[in-house]
Amino acid sequence: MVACGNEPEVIEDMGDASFQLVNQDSTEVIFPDDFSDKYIVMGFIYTNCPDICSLITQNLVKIQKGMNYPDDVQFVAATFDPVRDRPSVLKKYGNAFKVGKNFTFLTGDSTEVFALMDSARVRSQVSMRDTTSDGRELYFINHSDKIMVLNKEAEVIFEYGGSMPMIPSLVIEDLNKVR
Amino acid sequence: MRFLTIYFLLGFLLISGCAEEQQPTVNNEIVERVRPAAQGGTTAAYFVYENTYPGTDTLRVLRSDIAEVIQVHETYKTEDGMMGMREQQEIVVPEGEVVEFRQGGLHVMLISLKNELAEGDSVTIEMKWSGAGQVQKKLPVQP
Repeated sequence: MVACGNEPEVIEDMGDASFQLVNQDSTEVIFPDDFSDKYIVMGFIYTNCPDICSLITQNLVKIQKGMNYPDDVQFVAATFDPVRDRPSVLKKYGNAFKVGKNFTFLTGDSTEVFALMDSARVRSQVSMRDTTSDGRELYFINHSDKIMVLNKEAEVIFEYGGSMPMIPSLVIEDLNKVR
Repeated sequence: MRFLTIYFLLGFLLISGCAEEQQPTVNNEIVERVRPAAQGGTTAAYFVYENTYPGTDTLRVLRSDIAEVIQVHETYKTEDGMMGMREQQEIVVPEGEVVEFRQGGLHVMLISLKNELAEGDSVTIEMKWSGAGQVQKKLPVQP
């Protein structure tokens, strides 16, 4: 969605927000401040979701590859399951997708994570619960299916259904119009 | 050969974790594979099964040495627009038809993996059908 000229409409301004999170290496990340000089392509996932969330992650990887790993674009996958998706889990998950540099996974304290999700208008809700034979609880999560793009002012300027197959080409096309 | 949506499942899959070269099969536009995943994580298997048994067949058991829990899930959109997964308790396939375990639809969940699954490994899924009996499906691990 591009308004007059090449300036897209601002969907949400996250410029005043500040979320204290950690990445897959357990390094603190202040979002979005730490990426203030870059466009951000961001998806929302949890690692125990191998179907839709894998498609979202795969689309982020395809966008990055399709843009030839640009230095001015930060790729982010934020989890809405911070209890299970600790940094080490996200690190292994990222390795399975062979993510490149400028690709960060975000997790952290539940309060901060869900504040970020609220700000990004990403919904999640525990749905199905199960128990393993040794008594461990399993659960799955219903969630928004979203990839969004933020400009260098941390304004959300594009949103997409994150798992859809045509998303990488759309994101690349839209980003190339505004970069 | 028509596609059919289905019902039921329990667990019986086997893994051979050896690294061997395998090309994924593209069957009815489904890339048959198991996604790479970390030990303790969850992954999905995608493949097509054709019922060549002379009659309607029902999947009774799945088993795996690699996962603590195996289920068939269906990805769906909730009434309020969220994406979710729900377990499918019954898989029934009429004679001559196929069941598709595909991305974004019905798929086999391998939950709480006992070992890492890396690209180059392979997974053998063992299914026990009421009519066809035991059937194996060997799948490559790839993204």
